[in-house]
Amino acid sequence: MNSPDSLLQQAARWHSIASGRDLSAEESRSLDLWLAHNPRHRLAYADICAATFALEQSPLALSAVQPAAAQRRSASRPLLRWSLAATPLLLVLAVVFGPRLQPAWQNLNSDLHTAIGTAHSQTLADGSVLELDTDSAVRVRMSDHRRDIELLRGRLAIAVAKDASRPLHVTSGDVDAMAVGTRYVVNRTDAGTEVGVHEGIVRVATGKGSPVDLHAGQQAFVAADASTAQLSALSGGSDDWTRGVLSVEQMPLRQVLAELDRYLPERVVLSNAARGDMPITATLPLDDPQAALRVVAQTSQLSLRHIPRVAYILR
Amino acid sequence: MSSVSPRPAPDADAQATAELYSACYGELVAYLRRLCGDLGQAEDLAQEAGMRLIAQAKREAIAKPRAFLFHVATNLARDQLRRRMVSDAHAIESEYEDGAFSPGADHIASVQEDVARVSAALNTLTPRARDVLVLARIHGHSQKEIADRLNLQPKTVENHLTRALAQLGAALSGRRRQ
Repeated sequence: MNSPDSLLQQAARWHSIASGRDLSAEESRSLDLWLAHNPRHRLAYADICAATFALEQSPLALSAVQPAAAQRRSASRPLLRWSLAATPLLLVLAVVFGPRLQPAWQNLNSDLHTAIGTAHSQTLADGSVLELDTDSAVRVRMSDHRRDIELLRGRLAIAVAKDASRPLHVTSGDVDAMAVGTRYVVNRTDAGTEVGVHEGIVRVATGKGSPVDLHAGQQAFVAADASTAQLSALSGGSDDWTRGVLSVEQMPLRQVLAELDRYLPERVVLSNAARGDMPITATLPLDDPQAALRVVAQTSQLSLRHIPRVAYILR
Repeated sequence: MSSVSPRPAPDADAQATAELYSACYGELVAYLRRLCGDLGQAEDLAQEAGMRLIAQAKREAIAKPRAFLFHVATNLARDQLRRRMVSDAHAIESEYEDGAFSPGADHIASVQEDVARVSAALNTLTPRARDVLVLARIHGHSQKEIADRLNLQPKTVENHLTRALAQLGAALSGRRRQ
């Protein structure tokens, strides 16, 4: 801190002194003198004040906290959603413009996590290969009689090393996908968890319902508010992301944008909701999600606007 | 959305808001007086901010009415300061010459925009700086408490806090230059 402080830093220093405790008469006088010295000082101080009041109103600030008590609890729902629910005024703003905050406490509690826009592949101690997609976190536990991977958020694919004496479970909330030797994908979103099987057999159990066996080429979806799995044929391309591409065929625009949204720190917003159902067929590069968005905008003949660090808006 | 609490009738809301306003009026005037250096001006701004708070409360529930009130008042003061700087220096470039500068500017929107910008800026802080900032400003911990809790030197806490605040302030002060 040898360089001379910027005006904003001086203002911030004054602000943190003045808000931490009552100022002595002398401190109070020096602050007033500093403010009166130049209108730019006043403006800088006012900017800092505005920022702190904005901070108090920000739903993200509430979720950014790591209270000691909450750290112990393995909360399976992001705190962010609670704070949003409690502040209806800010809801729209946060959903439309709020950048994503990777829950720091969730990363702390995980063994492996990825940042927005990056994917990661790792060979586990048992030889299974775990691939994590963008903005995902897992906890891994290996014991003598079972292998556990808990998906805290995001999406993973796993090629399971055969070991009949130690079944491998991937859990996502109440959903438990158990396999012996196989390759499958588990995708956790706010709406629910999807399990897709590429090789072998996976037994999917939910909180209450009876377990279902999934065979290669099948997938199951368990909604967050339901306990039964809905079976369907494995949709093509459900593990394309492990190769860094998103191939879609006749996928509604809304869904394509939701996919790309996972790879960008900014939110992706479709302002013309009527176009949400437009079918899109394209192969998009996930390592350059911005380019992918441009392709989508061009295909759907929408204009793309970028508000740095805040949002991409298609209209 | 699982936990939206039932909203009281708008009239009851507005009543509660008016009470909150009169309860913090003195503090608001003292704050604004320091900010603008003039008591008369501070009172004018406090009253104008109060009117906007109550009007807004009639329209919809305000999650953090006190922060909202002080924020609106601060933005009124910021506009005034910018105007004064421009007239002092005759024509300072075109930096502050857009529509948001007019007296009729929508201050509700400007508050919401500030909140969005600060939320975005929060993301650019280091996790440590964010923790310090949130513990200090949202949870009201003193710098000493934060130093103890995070196992940091008091000086380090102060530096984190100052830099984080300056960074959030910068996110707002650059607002009109897009």
